[in-house]
Amino acid sequence: MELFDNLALGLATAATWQNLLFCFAGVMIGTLVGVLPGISPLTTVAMLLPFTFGLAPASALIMLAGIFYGAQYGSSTAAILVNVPGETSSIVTCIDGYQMAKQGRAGSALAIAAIASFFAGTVATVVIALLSLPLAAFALKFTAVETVSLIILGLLGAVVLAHGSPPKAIAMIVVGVLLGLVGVDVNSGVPRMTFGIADINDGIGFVPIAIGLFGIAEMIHNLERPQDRNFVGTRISNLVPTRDDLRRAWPAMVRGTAVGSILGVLPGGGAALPPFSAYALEKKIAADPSRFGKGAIEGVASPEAANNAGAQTSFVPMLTLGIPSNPLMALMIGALMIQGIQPGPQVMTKQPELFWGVIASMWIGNLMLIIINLPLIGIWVSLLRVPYHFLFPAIVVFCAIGAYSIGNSLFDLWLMLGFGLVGYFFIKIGVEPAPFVLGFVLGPMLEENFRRAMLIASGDFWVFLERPISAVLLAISALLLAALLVPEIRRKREVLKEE
Amino acid sequence: MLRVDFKDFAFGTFLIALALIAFGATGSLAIGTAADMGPGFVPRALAWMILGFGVTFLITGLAKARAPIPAPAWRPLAAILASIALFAVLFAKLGLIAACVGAVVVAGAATSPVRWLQLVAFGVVMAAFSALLFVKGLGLPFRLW
Repeated sequence: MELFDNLALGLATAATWQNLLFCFAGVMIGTLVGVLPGISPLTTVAMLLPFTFGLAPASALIMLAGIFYGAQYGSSTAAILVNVPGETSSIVTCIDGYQMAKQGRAGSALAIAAIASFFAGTVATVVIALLSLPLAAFALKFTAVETVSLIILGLLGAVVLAHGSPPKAIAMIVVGVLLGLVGVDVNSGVPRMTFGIADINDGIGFVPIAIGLFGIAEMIHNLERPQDRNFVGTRISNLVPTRDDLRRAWPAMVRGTAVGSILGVLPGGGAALPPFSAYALEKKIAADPSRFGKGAIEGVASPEAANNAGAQTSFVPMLTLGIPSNPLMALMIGALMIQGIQPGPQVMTKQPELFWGVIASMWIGNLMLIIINLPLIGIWVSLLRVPYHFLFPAIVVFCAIGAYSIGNSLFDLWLMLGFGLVGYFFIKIGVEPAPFVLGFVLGPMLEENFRRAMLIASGDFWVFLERPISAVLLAISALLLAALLVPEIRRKREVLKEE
Repeated sequence: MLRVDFKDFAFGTFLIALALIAFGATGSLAIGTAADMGPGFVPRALAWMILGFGVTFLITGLAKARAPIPAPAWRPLAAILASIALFAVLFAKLGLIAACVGAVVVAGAATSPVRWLQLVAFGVVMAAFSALLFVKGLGLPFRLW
């Protein structure tokens, strides 16, 4: 079986002592930032990205991936114990998890959350392995025409699942694509929109933009809100879930994993949306829906399984097609690029040990999380007491060092500052920066393929509809757009976001 | 007061300004034909789209009910941006350690009460930590002082 050969290769790559170490470092840092509200995995990955330059590509990706799914674990700990979700992905976990903690069942809730995450992580690893082979094989047949349509679908899909107003998100994508084109044009060698600044001849740096938009802007936004935390007074005595909790949690875990795996693969997927859908599903099918909100274990198990599954399966489009489905995956693309690897379906055939190593490391990382984290819960809890006014000056310094070190360039520091300001402006006017980042990363690829496609078709725009695969991809894009305009779906989308 | 959705209005203005800058910057680039695009083709097409979005948001902003932009928190905004700027300047002139201490102290002024002594101490700790981790540990070619 090819699949088993591949997984064996992956395990062999992931189980070398260096990679185990980087995997461990990744999940530990991830748990840490997951526990701490105010630092997102996105900021962390952006900050650490420059420092992975010296690592082997597989080690770099293994560590960065570990930060992402490790953060899902840490976030649920904060949600259950303090009623403050470390990340958006565990907002729903607060509802029943905190109630359980108040009833003295914190240990059971934490254990079920960890078990659900591990179970979901294991299933998601298999899902990724199964889906990747056919998807990449399919994508390898793509010409420039299909690639253009695929990128358009990827970008529009991200809009559908994003927060906020769809037209604004689409506008932000276009802005992102435009800024992605700044620098010397590959085809003609002419500098474009550089205003004579030599530092951006190779394009505007992605890392300073990401750190500015997400890290700096969010930090300023966090500082204007009071940070209040209510600890549950009870000690966490027993980390073994009761038999009754396990019996109820088990099927919810399976359903949450299924929801998360499916939603994670879609464009725009990630860890944020699946838990909301999973929670809504549990409430709908429960025999006694009134138990929810009062400490129902299903309300912890299902969303926790869903966010972990979603976090992991969102790697599928990034690894197999080179299309990031959320800003974090865009950063992963950035990590590949600074390693000199062009993301896309060829990664799997040219760098199988990288590809399968990252996938296998996810399972190992999940195992590490459940073995190491449950006993360490005391330490994470004490970290929750670190006040934000101690954290943010340290974050400023790490952001600055990170932005500078990517190219040893002071210009990048000023760029980060500028985008921090722009990002804060976006927060104030209620515009999401995520679509901008996706457009920025995919912009150069979109233009290059578009120009090549037009060259092949001698300027005939109909070529995108004449090729069957391209036509199908564009038809799905059109359906997505149309769906956004249907009031019924639009209202449901809003409700889902608000719940 | 005007009946304006200031959020949409501000976003529209931002997009229009951006489109105009893009037009200015790409004015001298060859556009070419659809079959053989010059370097200016796609950027100008995108700038037109951005201009279209900008005008649309400007108009819908004027037509919608009044929605103010929430007041910015000037103190954290100024402190954090100043902190980064100071880091950039000090790093170039005096090296990593001075930059770390300076950035921590200025960033710390974002919240009140400001405990200056504590901040300086924390800045020194951060500087030592950064020097050990990034210069000793990761071998980055930074000037310490």
